[in-house]
Amino acid sequence: MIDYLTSFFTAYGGLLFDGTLDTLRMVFISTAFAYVLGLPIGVGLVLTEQYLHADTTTPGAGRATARALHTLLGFIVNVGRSIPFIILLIALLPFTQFVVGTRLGVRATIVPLTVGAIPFVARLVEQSIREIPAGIMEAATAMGSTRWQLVTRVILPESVPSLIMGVALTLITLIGYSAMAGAVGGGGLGDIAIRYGYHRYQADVMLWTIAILVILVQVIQTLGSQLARRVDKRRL
Amino acid sequence: MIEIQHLTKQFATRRGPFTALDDVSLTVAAGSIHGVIGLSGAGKSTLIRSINLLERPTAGDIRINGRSIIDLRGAELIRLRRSIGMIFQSFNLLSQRTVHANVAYPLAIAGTPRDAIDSRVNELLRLVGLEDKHDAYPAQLSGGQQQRVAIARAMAARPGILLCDEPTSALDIVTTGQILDLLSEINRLTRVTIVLITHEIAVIRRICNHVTVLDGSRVLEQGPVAEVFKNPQAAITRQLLFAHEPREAAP
Ligand SMILES: Nc1ncnc2c1ncn2[C@@H]1O[C@H](COP(=O)(O)OP(=O)(O)OP(=O)(O)O)[C@@H](O)[C@H]1O
Ligand SMILES: [Mg+2]
Repeated sequence: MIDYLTSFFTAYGGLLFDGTLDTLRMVFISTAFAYVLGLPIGVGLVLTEQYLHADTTTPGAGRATARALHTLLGFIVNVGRSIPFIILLIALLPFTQFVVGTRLGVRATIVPLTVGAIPFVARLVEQSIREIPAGIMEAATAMGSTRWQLVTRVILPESVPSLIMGVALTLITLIGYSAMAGAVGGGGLGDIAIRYGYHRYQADVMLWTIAILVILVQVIQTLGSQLARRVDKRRL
Repeated sequence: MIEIQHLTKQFATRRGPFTALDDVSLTVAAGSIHGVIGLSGAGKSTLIRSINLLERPTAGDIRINGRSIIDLRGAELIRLRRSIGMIFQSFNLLSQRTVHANVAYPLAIAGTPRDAIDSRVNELLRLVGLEDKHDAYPAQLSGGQQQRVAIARAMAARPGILLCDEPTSALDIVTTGQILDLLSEINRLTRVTIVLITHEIAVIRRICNHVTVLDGSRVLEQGPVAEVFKNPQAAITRQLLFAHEPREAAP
């Protein structure tokens, strides 16, 4: 057993280590990019909805704009969510080529991962915001908050614990997606699993990649939950 | 002074328009404590929420110090709301912020300088008896303490009007008395006009000068508390007055 481990890791340890780093790099960078767009879309979904239901808003032009925006954002998000990632990956190849100049490897995979994660992130953010008790939003409105102040001083700070859980869920989901990207030469652990396990019948390499993926998911979920609990001032 | 004139509010529901306020008129004198009492569903919350336009009336007018407010929008609406404090049955404090930050909120959004905020928050927390709780979070406070923070927050920007929507309904009877005394004290010190909603006669008795009885979306009677309670005209007022009496004593 010891002999096996020594010889296996001498041969493949570096490969698996690099693959793990590549996976983490793809997943973390894509998540960060996805939040840059997904967060405002999620906030926009809630704000436009509230605007439509609030009693205090302008009739006419404002309402029509809010409804149009809400429908548009919802439509974009739903379209994005309904495309299976493996198909999005292939469909985006020309776009990926255009953006990063290659269709292979870590940099290329970040593009579809980001695009695929944006609608997912938008829905998660929307859900997190909806968890804020209506009374808190109402008190903030009654105090004379502008819409911007409502977002930056109430909505986002109040949903931080829930947003952190959402980030962990996004990272985990993207670990799964990034493994799919391995099928088209995307780099990372999925790439290794497919090249060695599928093309070269080296089952042990594949099993080790699976083990590492499982550990990554566990660690991210545990850290995410702990961090969310630690920052949440509702339970002290 | 708050003048509510022929206020009507209809909500659009799936089964057509629902009238929550029907031709409601009342005047709240500057500096007074005006109670609005009624059973659940009478329209009390809808009425008080109209005063800072959390609900926009369907018809009628609301004048504050002579100026109609019902068409205010945008920056003017924000300015109106910053001149009116509000507290709620469920306190509604920002859960992720300290007591200090909660009380500071109305000042912070108005761009008040940091040191002016700090001294005002200190002053307010002393007033509500929580000067040792600056750095506590709402979850670490009792209901009564949370309502004190909410009162400090509502008064931070020195509003001329304080709206209270069932401020003691989630509190025990002793804490209720303390919160009502605090509101009374604040009214005496600042001359803030208080509109207070409740379904308990005892609350009205303890601190209100005037009372309006609301039922089924309409005003049934109103006037100085002593007069209305000495000679109640509406059946609902008598029911509220004698709800706690033994069965035989009820008229
Ligand atoms: N947004 C709304 N849409 C439809 N109906 C509403 C809405 N808000 C209130 N209502 C209805 O208007 C009526 C009056 O509601 P309101 O909240 O003002 O009552 P209330 O006197 O404050 O009652 P409670 O003591 O239970 O708080 C109720 O029948 C309620 O169902
Ligand atoms: Mg109510």
